[in-house]
Amino acid sequence: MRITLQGIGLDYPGPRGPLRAVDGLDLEVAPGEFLGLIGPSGCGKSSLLAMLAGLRAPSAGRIGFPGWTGPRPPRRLMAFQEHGLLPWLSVLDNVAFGLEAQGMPRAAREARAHAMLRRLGLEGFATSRPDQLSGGMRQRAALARLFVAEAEAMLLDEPFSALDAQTRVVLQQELLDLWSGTGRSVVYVTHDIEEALLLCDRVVVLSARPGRVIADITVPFPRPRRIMGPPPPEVAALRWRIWDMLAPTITPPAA
Amino acid sequence: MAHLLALLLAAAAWEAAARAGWVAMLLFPPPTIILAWLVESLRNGEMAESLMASGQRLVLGFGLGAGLGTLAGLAMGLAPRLHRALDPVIAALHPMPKVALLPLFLVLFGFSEKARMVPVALVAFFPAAIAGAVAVRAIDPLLWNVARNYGAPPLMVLRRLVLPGAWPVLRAGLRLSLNAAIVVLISVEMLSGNDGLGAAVWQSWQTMRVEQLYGTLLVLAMLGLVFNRCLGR
Amino acid sequence: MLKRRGWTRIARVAARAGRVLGLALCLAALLPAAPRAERVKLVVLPFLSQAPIFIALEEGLFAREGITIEPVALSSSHLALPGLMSGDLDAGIPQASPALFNAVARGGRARLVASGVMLAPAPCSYAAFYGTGLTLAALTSGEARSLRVSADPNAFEGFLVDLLRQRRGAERLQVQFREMPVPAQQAALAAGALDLAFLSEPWVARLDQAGVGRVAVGAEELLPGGQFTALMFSERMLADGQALGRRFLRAYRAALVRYNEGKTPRNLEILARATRLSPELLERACWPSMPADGALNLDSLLAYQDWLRQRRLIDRVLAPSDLVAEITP
Repeated sequence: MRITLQGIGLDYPGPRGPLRAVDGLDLEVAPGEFLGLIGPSGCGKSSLLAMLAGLRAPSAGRIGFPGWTGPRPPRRLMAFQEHGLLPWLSVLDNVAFGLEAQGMPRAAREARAHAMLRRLGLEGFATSRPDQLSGGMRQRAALARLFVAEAEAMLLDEPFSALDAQTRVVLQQELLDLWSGTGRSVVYVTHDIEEALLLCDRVVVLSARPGRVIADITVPFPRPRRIMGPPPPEVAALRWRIWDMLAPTITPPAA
Repeated sequence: MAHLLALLLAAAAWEAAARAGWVAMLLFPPPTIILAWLVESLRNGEMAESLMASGQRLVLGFGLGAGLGTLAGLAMGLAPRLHRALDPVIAALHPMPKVALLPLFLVLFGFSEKARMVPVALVAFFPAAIAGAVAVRAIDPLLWNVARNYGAPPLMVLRRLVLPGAWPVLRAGLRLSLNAAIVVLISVEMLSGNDGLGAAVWQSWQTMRVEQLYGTLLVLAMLGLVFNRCLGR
Repeated sequence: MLKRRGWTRIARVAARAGRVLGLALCLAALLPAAPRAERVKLVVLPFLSQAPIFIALEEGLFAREGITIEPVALSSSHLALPGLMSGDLDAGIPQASPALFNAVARGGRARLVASGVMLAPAPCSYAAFYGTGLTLAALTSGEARSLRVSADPNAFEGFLVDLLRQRRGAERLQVQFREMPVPAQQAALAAGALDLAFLSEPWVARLDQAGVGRVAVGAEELLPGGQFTALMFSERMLADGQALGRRFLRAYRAALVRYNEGKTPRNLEILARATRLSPELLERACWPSMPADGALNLDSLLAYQDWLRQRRLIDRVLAPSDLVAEITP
C-alpha cells in the first residue's frame, strides 16, 4: 500500500496563537518500504506518525492511500516508546488485542497470539502481566501485538529508545526478521541516526520546527541484513553525512 | 495475629477496669457482659433478625446508589461535557444531610421500606459518582490511543480499558460509598426502624442496656469488615 | 522587770493578733452557714413538660433558695440519663422509661423525687393517640380492626397500646407498629398511611389546627393518673441530709403552684420564650397536669415496670424505695 502526504501542516495551540510544528511537508511511503523519519526534537516526527495513524488530523494538506480499494480504510497500527500494553491484561490478551478489536473469535485469536509469542520466545509468559516482564520483553510483546494484527502499515515511534544497547540490537534484529517477507510498509521514527540506517530502506531527514523534508536518502545496505556485525562502509559514511545535516539544527543559533 | 493480641489485651484491661469499678459500669460494661449479651442474642435469633433487616436494606440501598453512581461517574468520565454539566449539581447535592430529609422521603415514598433505603442509596451515590469520573480520567491517555488506534469497538473499550482501568480508583470510591451507606442506614433505622441494627442501637439507649449497644456495634464492625473485604484492600 | 515588761508587751501583741485571727476564723466558719450560692447543673429540655423549670428560672425561684442554675440544654431525656446517673448532671425531669429503670437497677445513683407530668383527667389530652376520626368507643366496639399505629412498642406508648387492647371490646384489635419521625406522622395520617399516631403537645394542637383529625384516645383515659415524667435528683442533691435537694424542691414546688395558676399571661410569656412556641399555639395547646404537691404516683410506676418486665425490657422491677427518694420539706 502506498501512502502519500501532500502539503501537510500541523499547528499546536501556543500562548501567542498557533505554533506551526510541521509546514508544507510532502512525503510518499512506497508499498513494502521500511522508511525512517529522523530529525531534531520537536520537528513533529511523532505528530506526523499520529497523523499517519489517524489519531490526529493535520491542520493543512492531506494524507492519501492511492490505489487502496479495501472496504475499510487501510489499518495503520502504531508501536509506542512506552510499549502501551494494558497493565491489567495478560501478555496473551495484550498480544491478541488487535485481533479482538477486529472481532476475531477467542480461540482463533489466542492461537495466533500464542504462535507469535512462541516466535518471539515469550511463550512462557502468556499468562504474565506486563509489569512482571523486563523492559525488553515488554517491547517484544508490543511488537508481537503489532505484527499479529497484520496491518497494512506499521508505524513505530522510537520503540527501542528506552532499552539498553544490547537489548536494543537484539530487538532491532527481531523487528527486521518479523517484517521481512510481510510486504507491509513501515514508518520508523527515531533520533538515532545509526538505528535509522541499520533498519531502513530510505531515511527522510526533517528540519527543526517547523518540520520540512531536508533530505531523502536511500540506504545502500542489501537485505536480508545482519545488524549484529559491522555495517558496510557506505552506511558508516552516510551516518556522518546525516550528522552534518542535523548538527546545525541541534546547536542553538547564536543570539 | 498481632491485631488479635492487641484486641485481647485491650479487652482484658477494660474488663479489669470495669470490675474494679474504675469506669462506670453503666456506660462501659465489661467485655464479658457484652459477649454474654451477644451470645444470647445470637442464640435467640434477635441478632440474625436485625442483621437480615439491615443487610437487606444495605445491599439494596448501596447496590442501587453505588450502581447508579458508578454509571453516572463513568459516563461523566467518558463525556467531558456531561461532567461539566453534572459536576456542580453533584457538588451541591453531596453535602446535603440525607437523614435530615428522611421525613420528606417517608412522605414521598408512602412510608414504605423504600423511603428508608432512599437516603442510603443517595449517600452511596455520590462517592461512587465522583470516584467513577476521576477514575476514567485517570486512565493513561496512551492506552486510549492504543484502543483507538487498534479500532477497538465501544463495548471492548469498556470491557478491556475503561472498567479495568477505572477499577482501582473506583474501588476506593465504592468503599467510601459503602461506609457512608452503613452510617446512614444505622441513623435511619435509629430514627424510624422497627427492626435492624440501628433499631437495636436505639433500643439499647432506650433501655440503657449499653452492652446491647456495644454488642451491636461489634456486629456492625464485622459487617463492615466483611463488606469492605469484598471490595479488596 | 524590764525583761518581764518586755515579755508582757509581746504577750499583749500576740493576744491582740490572736483575737483578730480568731475573729477572722469565726467569720470564715460562719460564712458557709449563710445561704451561700450553690451551683446545680440542671437538664433543660425544650418541652412543655419542663414548665416548672422554666417558671422557676424566670421567676428567680431557684435564686431565692440560693441556687445558681447551670442549664444544660439537651434534646431528649435519654441524653440526660447517663449524666444524672453518674452525677455529672444534678437534676432534670426525664420521662419514666425503661432506660431510667434499668439505669437505677444497675447502680445508677439518681432518684425520682417529685412528680412532673401526670396523666390526670383534664378537659383535654396532653398525650394521646391521634387519628383521623377513630374514637375510643369505636375501638372498643368489639369490631375486628387492623390498626397501623406510629408508636414505639417498647416505650410508654407501647404500654398504653396494650392497656387499650385489654379494654373490653378491644380484643380483636390488631396493631402494627410503624415508627417514624414526628414531622412525618402528620403527612402519614393525612395520606391514610397511618390510623393512629402517639403524640403529645404541642403536636396535638398543631394537628388539630391543620385539620388533620382528632384525638382518638387520650393517654389519661387508658392510664388515669399515670406518671409520665418526674423530677430526678443526682446523688449530690440527696447528700448531706438532702440539704441541697430540699432547697431545690422548695423552688420546684413554688413553680408548680405558679404553673397550676394556668394559662396566665405571665406563664404564657415564660413558656413561649422557653419552648419557642408561639403564644397562640400555647394558648390552644393542652397543658399537662402537674400536681401542685408534686406527689408521685408509685402505683403507676410499678404497673409500667411490671409491663416492661413482662416484655423483658427491664432487668428487674424496682421497689419504690429503690427508685424514689422521699424528701421531707
